[in-house]
Amino acid sequence: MLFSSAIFLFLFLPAFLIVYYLLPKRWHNAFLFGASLVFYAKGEGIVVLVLLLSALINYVAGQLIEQGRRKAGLWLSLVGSLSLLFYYKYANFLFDSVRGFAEAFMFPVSSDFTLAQIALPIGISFYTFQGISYTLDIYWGRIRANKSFLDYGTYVAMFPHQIAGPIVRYADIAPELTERTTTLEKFGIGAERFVIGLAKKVLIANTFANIADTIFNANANSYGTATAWIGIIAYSLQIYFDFSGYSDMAIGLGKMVGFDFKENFNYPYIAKSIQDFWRRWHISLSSWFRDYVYIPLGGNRVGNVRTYVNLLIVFLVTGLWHGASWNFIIWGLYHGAFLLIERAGLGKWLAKVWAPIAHLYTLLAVLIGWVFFRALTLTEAIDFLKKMVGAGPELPDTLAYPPAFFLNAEVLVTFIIGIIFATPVYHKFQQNWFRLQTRSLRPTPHYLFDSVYVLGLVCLFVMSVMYLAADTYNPFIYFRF
Amino acid sequence: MTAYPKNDRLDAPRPVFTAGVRRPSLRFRAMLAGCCFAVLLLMPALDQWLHLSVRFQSTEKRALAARPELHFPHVKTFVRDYEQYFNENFGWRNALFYAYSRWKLNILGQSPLPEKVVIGKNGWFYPGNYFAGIVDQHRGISPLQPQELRAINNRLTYYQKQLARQGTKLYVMVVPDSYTMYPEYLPDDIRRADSLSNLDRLSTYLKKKSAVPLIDIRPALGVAKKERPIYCQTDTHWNDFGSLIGSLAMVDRLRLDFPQLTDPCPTDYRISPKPGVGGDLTTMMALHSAYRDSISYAITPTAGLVARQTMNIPNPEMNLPSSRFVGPSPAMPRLLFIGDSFSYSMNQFVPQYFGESFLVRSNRLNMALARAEHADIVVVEIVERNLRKLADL
Repeated sequence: MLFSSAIFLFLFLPAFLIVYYLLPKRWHNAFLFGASLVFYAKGEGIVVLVLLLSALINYVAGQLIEQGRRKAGLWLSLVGSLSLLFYYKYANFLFDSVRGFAEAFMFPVSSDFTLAQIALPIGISFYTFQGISYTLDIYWGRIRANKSFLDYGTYVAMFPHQIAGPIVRYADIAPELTERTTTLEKFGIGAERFVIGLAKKVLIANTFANIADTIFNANANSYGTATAWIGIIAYSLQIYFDFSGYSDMAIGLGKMVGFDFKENFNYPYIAKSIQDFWRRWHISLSSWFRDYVYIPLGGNRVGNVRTYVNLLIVFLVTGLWHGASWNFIIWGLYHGAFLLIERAGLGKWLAKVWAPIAHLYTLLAVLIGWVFFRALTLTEAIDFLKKMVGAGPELPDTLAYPPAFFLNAEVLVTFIIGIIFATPVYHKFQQNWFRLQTRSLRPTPHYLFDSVYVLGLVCLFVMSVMYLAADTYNPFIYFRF
Repeated sequence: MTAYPKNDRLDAPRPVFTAGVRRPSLRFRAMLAGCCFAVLLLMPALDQWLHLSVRFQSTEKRALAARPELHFPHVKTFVRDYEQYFNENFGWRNALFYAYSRWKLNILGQSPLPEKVVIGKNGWFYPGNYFAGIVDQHRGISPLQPQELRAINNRLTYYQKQLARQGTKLYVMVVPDSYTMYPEYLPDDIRRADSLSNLDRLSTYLKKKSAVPLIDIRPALGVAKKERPIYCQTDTHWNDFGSLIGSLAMVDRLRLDFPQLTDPCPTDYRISPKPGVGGDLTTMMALHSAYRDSISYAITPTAGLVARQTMNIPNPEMNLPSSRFVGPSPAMPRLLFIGDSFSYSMNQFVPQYFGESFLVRSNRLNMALARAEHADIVVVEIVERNLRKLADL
């Protein structure tokens, strides 16, 4: 169930919130856990058992570590969680890769040598990493194991961050699992955040998605260089607003039920280096890899060569985490390579150089990286990159998708809004706005400004829902029964 | 790994979202936002209960999903069906689409349904690519391929031979798209390529390779266009005047082979202008009350040119009935007319020229019907954008 769907917004969420707020506090976790399982089962059906199994493995592992059987607990967590993740996410990929290599090197491969397609349980990468962070933190003595499976299950399964993150660490919300407050004020702060996230997703990301999907799915001889650039810029904005919008919605929903999740994005497209980009993009994932992979491997305290190897390992795994395909591996290694180059000296130069040059370098590197991320195959990605530099095949006189096909008033406005909101411009404006308000001593203007702001939020919500309603509207010229 | 490793303190950028500026009246704002959000979440439920948005009727022309029943153990099916039901029936949905349509068209100048409706100039609307890739066809990026032309020719030739055995002549009549007749009102980014249109390709091919006569009514419509609008501005179809001109052009062509047919003349009809209505394109967008045709016509034939309808047969294939007529002169040839929705308005202008006529709405030429009818003439009418369907006639 998507947060940006009618059934979630107007059936699941109101029903959940009404019951949640009416229930006594001691029932909150149980209800949140149950509702989250329903939320997951609605989309995934019986696969909810995989989530429960993963939670159970890590819960037991945590108890074992706590009881002194540290190695056993740690291995149970790592082997158990990663086996599930590997089986559901990577088994088909590994099988196909082995088969592909065998065929490439002329080894005889039987036609019976096949593996049925395994359905990927949604959110498995997120809850696996949450489980591992929980047991590792217990192992390292940072936190105590939770004795209640209900509380732990609530942490793993809670629907706000269940499907698309952020990766919430147990350590960050442990106090709130046992004692949290829910007030109208906090609910309002959460609602504000949720509406902003919904608008990001529905009004901005979906508009860019239409453009990016059209271009990336189009026949190679139906568009030229300019359109390819429009496509990749649109995709870059799509993925940012989609993902950060979803994180905003998760943070907002978390606030509504009394949790404070950490921020997941910090204006990544204003980064001045790829290293800076990774401190701003999907923060919960990059910090997870830093704390649970990079540092345990030795981090940057083991000499230059090992540091570089560690970085490449981390980014190889980062790529793989995003999806089971060679494109994701290449995307990860591509980013890793930039980090190596920056560590080798480019980073120092970037710190000194005129800021726009550093920004341009970073954006260009990220944009090119997104081609590997978005294209379905390596061949497609390379063809698209060729297109971007004007090295593609000769094109017909009439192109199906010239730039003008996409650049209508709405798209141009969305591009402008997208670029503005991908930078802290609005944030700075809001800061100055508050400063202006603090100078006003009378309360009336405060209330007036805040009312106008809330009215703006209402309009954003209504507009987002308008777009959602339009998606369900499928008219015909003649009656269809 | 026995102790938590030392964290390499990376010099992380200071998050911009924790600027620490104290917000005045934050509590009021948050509480107001919370109350508004709660009300907004409950609005659809209130609408389903109190029917507040009842005046916003769906213009989808389809049966919306009904509330499913749970038949245990088919829970998954129930959940899927219920979601579809909810998405198509949640409160304020139609009102939201009405608002969306107006927002997209009036404010942004974009089509609310870009795949189905193209917004032209001066109040003109055109069908979108959803309809047989009409935009791509017009732009010349979806040309009829040689194998497609061959397949159409084979099909038509087969029917022509079959019908010739019983003394029936086959004709194909193509009604041009509004794109062809009114390219001047298309948006600037939809231009005809310099290449031939698909109708030109087919026409040329049939002239070279086949004996099947193709009735091209574009010249007649082109002349009539200078006199009056011949197509609807807000509908996929031609208007009654266009239909009249097309019908007369068809009869004119048939007279080359059947000279006994009455000479068709536009002056045999009284044409009275009347206010236009919103057509199917604006109805799809729920904008039919705001965007209407500037004009429509009431056309009545003179006394001697009236056919009598003897039957109206419901037709689920196209949701438009098939009709039988008896013309004023029984000695005239018999006509079997197979056509699409464009042919429906031709009921007013075609039957009076034939002894008997049967106008069927279908995309198929049913040979059993053709044999049973013993028609002298079989005309297959098809709109230009659907030419490819002739291969499956």
